Amino acid sequence: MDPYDVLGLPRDADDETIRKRYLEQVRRFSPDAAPEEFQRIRKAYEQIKDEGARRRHELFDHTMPGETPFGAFLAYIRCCEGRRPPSQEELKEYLRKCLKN
Amino acid sequence: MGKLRKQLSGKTGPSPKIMATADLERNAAADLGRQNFSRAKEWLKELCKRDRERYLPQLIACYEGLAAQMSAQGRHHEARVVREQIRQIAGEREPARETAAPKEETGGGDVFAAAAAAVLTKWGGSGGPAASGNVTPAEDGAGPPRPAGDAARPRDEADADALVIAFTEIPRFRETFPEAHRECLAVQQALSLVSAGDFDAALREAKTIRRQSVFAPWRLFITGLCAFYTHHDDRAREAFSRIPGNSLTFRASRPYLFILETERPEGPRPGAKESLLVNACRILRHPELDHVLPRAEFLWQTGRPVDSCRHVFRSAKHLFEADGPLGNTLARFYLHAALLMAGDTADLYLQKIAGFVGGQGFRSGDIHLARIRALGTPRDPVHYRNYLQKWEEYRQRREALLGRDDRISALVSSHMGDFLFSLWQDTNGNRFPIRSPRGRQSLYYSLALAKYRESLDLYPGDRDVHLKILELYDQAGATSERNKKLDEITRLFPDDRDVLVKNGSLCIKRKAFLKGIGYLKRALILNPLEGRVREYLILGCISAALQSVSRGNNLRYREFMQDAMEAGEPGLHNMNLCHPYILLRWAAMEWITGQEERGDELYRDALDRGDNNIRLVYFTYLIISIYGTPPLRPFNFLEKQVKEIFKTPSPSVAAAITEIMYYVRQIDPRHPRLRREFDRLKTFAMKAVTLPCTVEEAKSIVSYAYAQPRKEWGLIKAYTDKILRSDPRHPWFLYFRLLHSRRGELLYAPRPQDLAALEEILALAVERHDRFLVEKLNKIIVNMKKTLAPAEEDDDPDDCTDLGDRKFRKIMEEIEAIINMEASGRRGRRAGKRLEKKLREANQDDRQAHLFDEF
Repeated sequence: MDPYDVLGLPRDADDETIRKRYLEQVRRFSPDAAPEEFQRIRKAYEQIKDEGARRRHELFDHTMPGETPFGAFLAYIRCCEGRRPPSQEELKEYLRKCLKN
Repeated sequence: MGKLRKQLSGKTGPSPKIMATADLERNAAADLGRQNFSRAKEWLKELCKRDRERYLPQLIACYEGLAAQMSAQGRHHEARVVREQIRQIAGEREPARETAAPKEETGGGDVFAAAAAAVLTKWGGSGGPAASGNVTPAEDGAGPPRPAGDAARPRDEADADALVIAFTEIPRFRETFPEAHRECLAVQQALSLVSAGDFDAALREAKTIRRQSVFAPWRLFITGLCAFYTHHDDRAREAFSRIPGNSLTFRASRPYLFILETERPEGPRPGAKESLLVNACRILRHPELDHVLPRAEFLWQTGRPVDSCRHVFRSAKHLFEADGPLGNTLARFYLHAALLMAGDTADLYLQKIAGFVGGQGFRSGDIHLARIRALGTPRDPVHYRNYLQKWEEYRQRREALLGRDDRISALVSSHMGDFLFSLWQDTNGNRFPIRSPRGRQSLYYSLALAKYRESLDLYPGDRDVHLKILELYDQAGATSERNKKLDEITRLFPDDRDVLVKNGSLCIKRKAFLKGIGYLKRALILNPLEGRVREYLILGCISAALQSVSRGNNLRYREFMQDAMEAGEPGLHNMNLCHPYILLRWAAMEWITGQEERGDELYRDALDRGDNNIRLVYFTYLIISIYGTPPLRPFNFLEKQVKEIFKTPSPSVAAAITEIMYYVRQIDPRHPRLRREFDRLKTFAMKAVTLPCTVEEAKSIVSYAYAQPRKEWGLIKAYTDKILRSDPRHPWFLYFRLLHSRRGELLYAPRPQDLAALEEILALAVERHDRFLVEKLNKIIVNMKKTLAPAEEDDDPDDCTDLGDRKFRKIMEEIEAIINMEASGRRGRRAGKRLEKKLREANQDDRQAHLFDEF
């Protein structure tokens, strides 16, 4: 798994953002309650925790962001944008389009 | 006959004239729900012919909707014609109401509002569902709730959909059906709260909708939306999947459900319909991709990766030109896909996509391509020059496009160094068919060192590269260089914990105890909670003390042992770390150096600190034999005590003794006393087998018996059977019973029935959450399956099945590599002669190989 995806961070995140997000995730998945998830988060953090690690990751990273193009798009949404609700107008438009379909 | 009626009666289904009334009603309700008034009126006309009294109001409502729809679309002339038809159908009694109603109610112009008005008219004409507030659940319990007396209109959720998406206040609705009006408003309010991101309030609003109401699917839809946006995926999945089919909410929820299923880590991926993907892009707020990703997905799924990539790069050019995170993610996907393809296919794929990935628009495309080409080059001795060349190309391409970056260049050099280091390790001791091992080794060694130095020139502060050079020197036995490097690293990184630990353990390995202990003490100060460093330090102190004992230097070993005591901790759980065990070692040293009184004192102190004298006495008894020649008096005293221990058989004592023997065996595995002691333990444990024992005690005994060079199957069987009598499904002991029944052949000559037995044990281990056993069994099962699988037959006659051919091909590849390497011509002739000799030798090896095959 891509470390940015695991931590839910954009690829241009800096040291401070990464550390903050890592601590948030560790609080959510403690080593006692969710040891496997904790290991995944820990490993991801080690891969991008500082400038050197991030450069190394940039050079040698070969993980696939998804299994298909749409999977890659979903991975991007998950790590960079998150699920944002549509505006009222967009929702109205969407529902009306669904009716027509 | 109108065109539509022709269609209805001809191509698409039976004529309305021959259809059952119930079917006509169902079709009419469905078409009204979809605001397909043109078709609905055809069904209603036929119904009117059969029962004018009953169906006329609905037909008029349908005409109203059609007229409003046409007006909204600017088809005013046609709308007027429809209104004329209404007058003709209804007579002159109520023309004004019929034609004006929708316009007045909706303010005119909105097709959705007109449809809502039509629904209200329909409800009003036949006693609508909420007129009395009476509604009943669906008869089968699975479908949507139905209004009371619903036989004539089974699709009322379509009416509810029309009312909701009108998003308009209709006064007649509030007055005539107050309860339905309230629920419709609640749905609309909840939807706007979802848009505002206030999911708690949206849920509260949705909960005011009754489960039996015609708006109940909207309640589920809103619950699903809230769960989706708050990442409660299971809850969202459940809510969306409970929405009844063929309703607006059902269609609207499908893309959400599709996203949830696609993101689920386990389970099969759902099929991707184009319309679903289009809507998924829209609900994820990327409508600009709704014509890009569905097609790309289709091309990818149908095995056309190049076309898929081309489509994305051409259709969504703006993403790559902006060099933003979405463009990078998609580019990463298409580029990294090459690394999962076979060699030739990957080359072809990269070659084809290079045209548009590396184009002018995508600034970093060329750099990524160069990186993927380097990563995809095989890492083997044959291609090593090619591998280095590809990384050089990457470095140059990056510098040309983005400017010089010493940090990246340093990383590339150190990566090349790592690769050469690994090649050196592989050839170290291996026979290489063409070049002499030493020549090839020294080439890799010097190249690896050069690359590491190059990396340090570019970025001198890279601690990891310094440590790698240290490891290279250490493994190559270059002691002098290693020691110099060690001092250099210590100077450069005086406060780096990892460097200190590394230096400390290396110093202790080369018996520079004082220096090593100093480094480890500094590392411990930097992180006092690091148990590993603490153990290294104590073991370093003990090793230093033992050296002083062997030299007869009493004062020094006491100092070292005092240091070990300071680094140790109370308790009995760890034989490296805990005070009683350190004191017992110290007592043994005192006895060995003739300081018997001091030894006795320390021995008593250790026993006072521990609460399990059997473990401590037996530990002292073994350790004193390992450390040196034991003096007679304390040894006899200890032997007497040990004899006492062995007088009363007990599984718990046997288990404690096995643990101590296991630990001491790591210090000196071949010590003769350990063999004798194991024989004594075996007799003791066999005597104790009839006594009660815990599972953990039995595990200790069985593990130790199995760890012996000549496995003690008798002891293993006795304790395995003992536990399985009381717990016949214990996976750990079932595994050992299987091992016993096959006497160790299980792992080397497995049978299909062994695999089945192991899989059963694995299921039990999973049931009992025995993680270690599950991991172990999984590994064994994978290996066993490989062993049991029939050998693949190569049916290609051109391919080399013969060992000689295969070897010849390998040699030819080597020759090519050597020719490239020696292109300078320096040693060309000599190398050629050497090659001939090697080929002759290889042929001799082939003959030997065939002899072995026949044998």
